[in-house]
Amino acid sequence: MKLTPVKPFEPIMTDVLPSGDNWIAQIKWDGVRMLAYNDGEETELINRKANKRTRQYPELWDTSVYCKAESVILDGEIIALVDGTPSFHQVMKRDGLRQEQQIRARVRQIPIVYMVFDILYCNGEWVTSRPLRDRQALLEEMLIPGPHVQLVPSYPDLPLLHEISRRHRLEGIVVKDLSSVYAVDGKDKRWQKLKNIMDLNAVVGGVTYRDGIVNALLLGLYDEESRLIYIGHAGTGKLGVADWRRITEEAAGMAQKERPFANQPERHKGAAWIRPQWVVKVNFLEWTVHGTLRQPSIQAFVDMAPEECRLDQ
Amino acid sequence: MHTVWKGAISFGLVHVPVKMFSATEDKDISMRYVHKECGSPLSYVRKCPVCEKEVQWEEISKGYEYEKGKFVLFEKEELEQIAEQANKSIAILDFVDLSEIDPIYFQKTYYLAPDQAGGNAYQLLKEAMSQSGKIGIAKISIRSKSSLAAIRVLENCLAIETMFYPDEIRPVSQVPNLPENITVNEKELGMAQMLIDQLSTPFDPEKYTDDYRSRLLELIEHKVTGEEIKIAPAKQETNVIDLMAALQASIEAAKPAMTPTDPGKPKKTAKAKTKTAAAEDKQVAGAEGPKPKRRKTAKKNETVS
Repeated sequence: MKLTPVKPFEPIMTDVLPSGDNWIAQIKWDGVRMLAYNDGEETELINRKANKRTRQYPELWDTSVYCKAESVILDGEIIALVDGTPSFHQVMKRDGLRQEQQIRARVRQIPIVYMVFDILYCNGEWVTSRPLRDRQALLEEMLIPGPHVQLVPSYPDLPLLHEISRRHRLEGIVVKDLSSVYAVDGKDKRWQKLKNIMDLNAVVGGVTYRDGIVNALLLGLYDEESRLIYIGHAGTGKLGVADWRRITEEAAGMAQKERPFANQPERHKGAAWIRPQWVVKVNFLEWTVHGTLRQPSIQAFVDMAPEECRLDQ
Repeated sequence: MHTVWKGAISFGLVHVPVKMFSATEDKDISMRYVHKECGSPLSYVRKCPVCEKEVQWEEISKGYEYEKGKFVLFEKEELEQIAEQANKSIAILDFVDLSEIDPIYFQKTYYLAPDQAGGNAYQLLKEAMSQSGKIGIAKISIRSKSSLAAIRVLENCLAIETMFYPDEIRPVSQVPNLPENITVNEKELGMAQMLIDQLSTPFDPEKYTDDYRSRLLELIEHKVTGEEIKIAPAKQETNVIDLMAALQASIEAAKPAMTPTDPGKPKKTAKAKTKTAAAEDKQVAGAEGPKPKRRKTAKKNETVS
């Protein structure tokens, strides 16, 4: 591919909506962030970590089906629904596949939709320096919505969309400054996310068993001195019996004697320590005063370096 | 290749640390049992027919049926105790000529690779065996099963063939209907020998292939690409367009007078209809959900701010 992959712009976390007229709000679609590149000849799908995911989503190979531009870079979120609501766990069942045959089979089982919200490059020209307002107009002109590609709608009433996202049990909203340029590899307050559900990626440092099968994971995050700090047990979530069996099998090979956590976890009796290699995405209600997660629930195993799971994420 | 066993070959005072790898692989295509009606693969349940309940692994013991319906039970530790003590070594007992062993004895071939600084001893053993043309007969236990084995040099590598014990091999005398004392016609014998001569050729393993497997693979490929696949049914998911429409309806219900920003209207279908600017005012009042896709010029977006 002739286009060099770029890192997408990221919103910062906030709990206060900005004021002023220059803002729009969009639903924060809970899936995997993906940039679609087409240099006029070939298409590549590349995620936030610069990993190729082209093979995983055959629905998006032919950009001419959903985009009128000769060459283009689109930014959006690939989602999969469960009971009508986007599920990160569900889309990971597509994102994590490596075998050709499985990919082909799951295309039918787990349909995906690419929710597109920005355009970075169009017909041989970078458009990142144009304000969001102009990029959105260009995107609307170029994008052809269909079963697998949709344009993310924008709304001027930020508190209303926030309220509605909560009512529909969605992840949250992202508010964006209409005059902002697209800062490649940037992260600042020109885009801000408000989440209804708290989540983070945590490192698994231990497991507990019931009847010989792992029933909970002990989670931790690294502090600024690279010590792994215990933040809670998680035993509920999206994992099924087969997942727990697989975890049990694999954890056996990862056992270690020393406790990987710098602090002593609560309920540590019966816990078995494992090498801190797994990263899981967990949703939770809030932080407790003891610095642990309230009601953490496991969403999925994610392909991420454990040392990137930091307390200040 | 992953290591199937780790230990050492011992012969005399020489000790050769080695790792063992399977030399052959079974390429049979495995299939699963699938419920015809819905296409889901079956799961297997370990069930006690008397208690009529599913049994967990912790509740399971191994038992030997010494008499119909009567079992003696064994704990894992009991079985481990009687397993060969020399678990981690391949002790070479004798060296013999390969031609002395009938192929009926051979079970499965493994490659041996030197482990941790065992390179010199490995090379020594290999060279000595290579020069003498002999193979070593040894005892080895892999997991709990002990077997006889032959160590030989294969190209530049040591290989080990697990072997049956003699009492595991059935005598030919048990085969029924073998002809005895029947004289063969000299002329026919000559013809048969001539035929053998004609078909004689050096052994070229490359020319033999598994035709059944290649036909099956072809059939699988055909079915997969022809979309004739039985797939476990996925729950029918609500379309994202429905969700977007529901969001739009919520917004309009909450604030009937609100105008969404330009790029913002959820698209009802992929088939876009060109909308005139005049229709825009109507849409503000509309609470009937998302509109068909509109095409607009960039300038109209200025209404946002």
